[in-house]
Amino acid sequence: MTARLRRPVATGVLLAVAAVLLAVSVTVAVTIGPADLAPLDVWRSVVDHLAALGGSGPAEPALGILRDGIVWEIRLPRVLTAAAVGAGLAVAGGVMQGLTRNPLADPYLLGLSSGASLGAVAVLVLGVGVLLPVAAFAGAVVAMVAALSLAGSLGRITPARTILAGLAVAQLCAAGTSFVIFWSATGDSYREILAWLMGSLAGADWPAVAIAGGAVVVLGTGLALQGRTLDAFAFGDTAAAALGIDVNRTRWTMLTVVALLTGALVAVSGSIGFVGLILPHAVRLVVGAGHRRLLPLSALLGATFLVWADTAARTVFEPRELPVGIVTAFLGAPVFALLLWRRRSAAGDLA
Amino acid sequence: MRVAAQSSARRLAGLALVVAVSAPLTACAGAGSAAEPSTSPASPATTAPSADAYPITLDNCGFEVTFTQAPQRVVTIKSSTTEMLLALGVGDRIVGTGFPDGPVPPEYAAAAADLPVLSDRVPSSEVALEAEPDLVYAGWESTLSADGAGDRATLADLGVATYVSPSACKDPAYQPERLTFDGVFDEITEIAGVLGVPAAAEALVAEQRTALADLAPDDRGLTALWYSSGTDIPYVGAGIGAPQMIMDAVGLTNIAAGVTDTWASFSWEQVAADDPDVIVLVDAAWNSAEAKRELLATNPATANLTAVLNERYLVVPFAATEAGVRNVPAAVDLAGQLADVDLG
Amino acid sequence: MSLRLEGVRWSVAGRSILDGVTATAPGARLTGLLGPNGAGKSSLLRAVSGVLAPDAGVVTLDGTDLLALARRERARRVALVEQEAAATVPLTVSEAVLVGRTPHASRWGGMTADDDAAVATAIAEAGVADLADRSLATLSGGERQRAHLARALAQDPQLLLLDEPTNHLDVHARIELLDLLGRLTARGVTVVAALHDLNLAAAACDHLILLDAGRVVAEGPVDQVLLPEVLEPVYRVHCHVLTHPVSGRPVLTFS
Repeated sequence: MTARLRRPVATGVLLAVAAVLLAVSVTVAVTIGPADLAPLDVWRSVVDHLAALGGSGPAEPALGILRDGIVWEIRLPRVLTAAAVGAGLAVAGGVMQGLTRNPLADPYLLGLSSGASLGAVAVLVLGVGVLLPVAAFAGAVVAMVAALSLAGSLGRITPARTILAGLAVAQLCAAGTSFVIFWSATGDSYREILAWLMGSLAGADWPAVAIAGGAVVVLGTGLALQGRTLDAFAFGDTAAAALGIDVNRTRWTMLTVVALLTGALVAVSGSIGFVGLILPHAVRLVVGAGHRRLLPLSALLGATFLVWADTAARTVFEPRELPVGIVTAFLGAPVFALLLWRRRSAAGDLA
Repeated sequence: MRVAAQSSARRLAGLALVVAVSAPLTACAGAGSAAEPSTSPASPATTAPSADAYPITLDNCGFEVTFTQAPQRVVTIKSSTTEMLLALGVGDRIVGTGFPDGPVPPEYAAAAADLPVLSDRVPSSEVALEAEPDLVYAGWESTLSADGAGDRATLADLGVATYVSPSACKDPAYQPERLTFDGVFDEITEIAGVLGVPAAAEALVAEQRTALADLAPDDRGLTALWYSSGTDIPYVGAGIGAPQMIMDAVGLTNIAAGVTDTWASFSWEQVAADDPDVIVLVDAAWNSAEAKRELLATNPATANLTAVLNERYLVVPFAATEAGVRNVPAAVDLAGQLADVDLG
Repeated sequence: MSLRLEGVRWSVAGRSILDGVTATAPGARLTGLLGPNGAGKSSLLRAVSGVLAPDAGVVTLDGTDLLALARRERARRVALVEQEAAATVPLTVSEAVLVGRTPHASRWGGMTADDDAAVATAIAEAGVADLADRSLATLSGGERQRAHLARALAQDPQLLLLDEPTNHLDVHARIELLDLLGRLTARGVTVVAALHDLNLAAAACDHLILLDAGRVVAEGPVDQVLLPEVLEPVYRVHCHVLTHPVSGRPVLTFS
């Protein structure tokens, strides 16, 4: 009937499939780990806990307190945090790429990860007496304010200025971070810092799930619903304005929301790279660049991706653990190269 | 983490130039003072080195070092090396120390009181050379680099010998497959030979061997976690280093023994699965045993470990966990703490 | 649906771009906006479509004050097709045309049957039906122009503004475009097109507005504006007016 409906697969079907894939991934990932636990035992433990939350359920965990703790205190919060962080970073990345019309944009564009790193090393190295996630979030917010102020200081905030201001802030914070590490790091603190800088989900607990999950559900959903606006942005600021969008205010607002979302995620997991950059591109390859499909799908697939990346990070070298950022970089870099190679012939198409 | 290594190197090149100009003066001064044999009042067992013990040529971590006489002006980096000289009774030859890991044991406190401290961290090349040493004795190989105390070849050209604790060699060909007390004793003997005090080493080694022999390992077959640092990802003593050596001596089974490394990153999940009977906490100034105790008790992932619930903790000072003269006393002390652990 | 401009002024960085523009574009007609480079044609179109806010002046469409409307409201009535539309948009033609429905979309962007119908109509009208699933970046300049035009049509505007729409079009495509504009005016849409091809303006437009240095120097039917004494001081070339043997419209030559 209409040109639009000539899409091979409807949006709803794709979202449903992606959601199922995520659910299955979470369910399977939680049974994988260095400790030897049978899948059925793991699931039973989770169900028992959920029942206990609802008021019913056994008083004593079937697995014994310690092994039950492995499931409920270590594995499940970690897998859920991975899903939340993956979803959030993917959406944030897609939005940043749309806002700046730049395919190389990622959630950390405003210098967020560098600012958060500075906050983190302040705690890890200088021993500032603040909770690590709080310090990291504060650092991200400071970087965001600095970058946006710098970008907007000359009047209207444009994509080019945003990118450059973000770069400037990122470099400054990175210099500060390097200085603090070089000057003050003692003994083994290098390892902790490195794990944080690479991005790690180790130690993710239920508060982390709440922070990351809350940020994704509240802020991420809000962003994902801005698909039409971002599509309009793709045509340039003039066209977007002619379509009735308040370009300046919309851009400021969305940048701020992305920054807050990313700040919350980085506070919990450190700066995990490549997810925000690569996932939207990978999804575009499959379903095209229309943001109304791209953002929700990126969220679901980003969540699934990070769940599996983290599972690999904690089992490939077991009993040793890798920071998950190393795994995403290993996976992300070749994928990125592949994407660039595939696009080499499409003249001017930088999706 | 982007430490500007390249600009450091350029800075060092500049420094090296300055140093190279003043080097001849250093070499002359060094040569002059080495002419007389030295006796240390702290250890009557020290004798003047016999003339035909030298020259001594060693392959130290893949770097060939030749000593034509006993070093008289030593810069020590890391507590293990400082304490080594103090234990051998030649503490008066120390002209500068760097990067201490903690206070020296009480028996050396008096001798250590006046030692000039060059730096809290690794001293820079210029600072190290200002002390006009003829030997830089390092506990970690990484401290002997261009942006540390100096590149080994560069220092050698300036007439400064360098020596790294053999157990700390990074090159797999030189890293001991498994650290043993015999290995530690060999180190003591080797450095004592270089310093010209072999008899002091003999006495020290004999003393430590006796202490070790008297040590009765715990026979309850207990498992242990050697928890060094790290919060989300624990950094633990693994299978081939000093922690393993000490745990073997006191009769503890290391849950990370299967990891072929000196220390390694581990996972709390594995710790929970293994549920060790006791936890050895390393006490360092930057990461105290108390802080680790607190962490273990409050982290829901570890709060239910048997050792945490029953507070079965053993404490060992950080400096004692590097290969050196403190390993045996640490093992003895640990054995004593272990004997007090009641499994009831 | 006539468009009235009164005393529209706009300056940027101290430079005056629009210096009191007063003109009328009659409803349901094709009005040509003429003038040399830098006369302010693009800026005027942007001011009417709300992309830039004029410093002073009144702009009304069929009596409604456009400048006082909320952005979305204005975008439901006025559509703009830019001169150099973005080439690197990663969307397909259908997706791009759908973007034109943005001003009509509900808050949360759900698709409605109206949207479907509008998109289909726009694609058919602009003649890009066979390009519907192609990515914009793979189209030629002329095809892309038509796709952007389809997007503007999907806005279902009462006033359509075009900035140099014939730039990338060959002769055939130009004629087709003019035919399309004729169909649009026939169904009531007011069209204002900035043109630099004076002969095209002569052939197609019902009404002309001639701008120079931000002011209106002539306005009226084609044969009143396309006169040598009017054009020569503005374009600074000699010009001769002939009469087209078939249509009777002026034909211009320059030297």
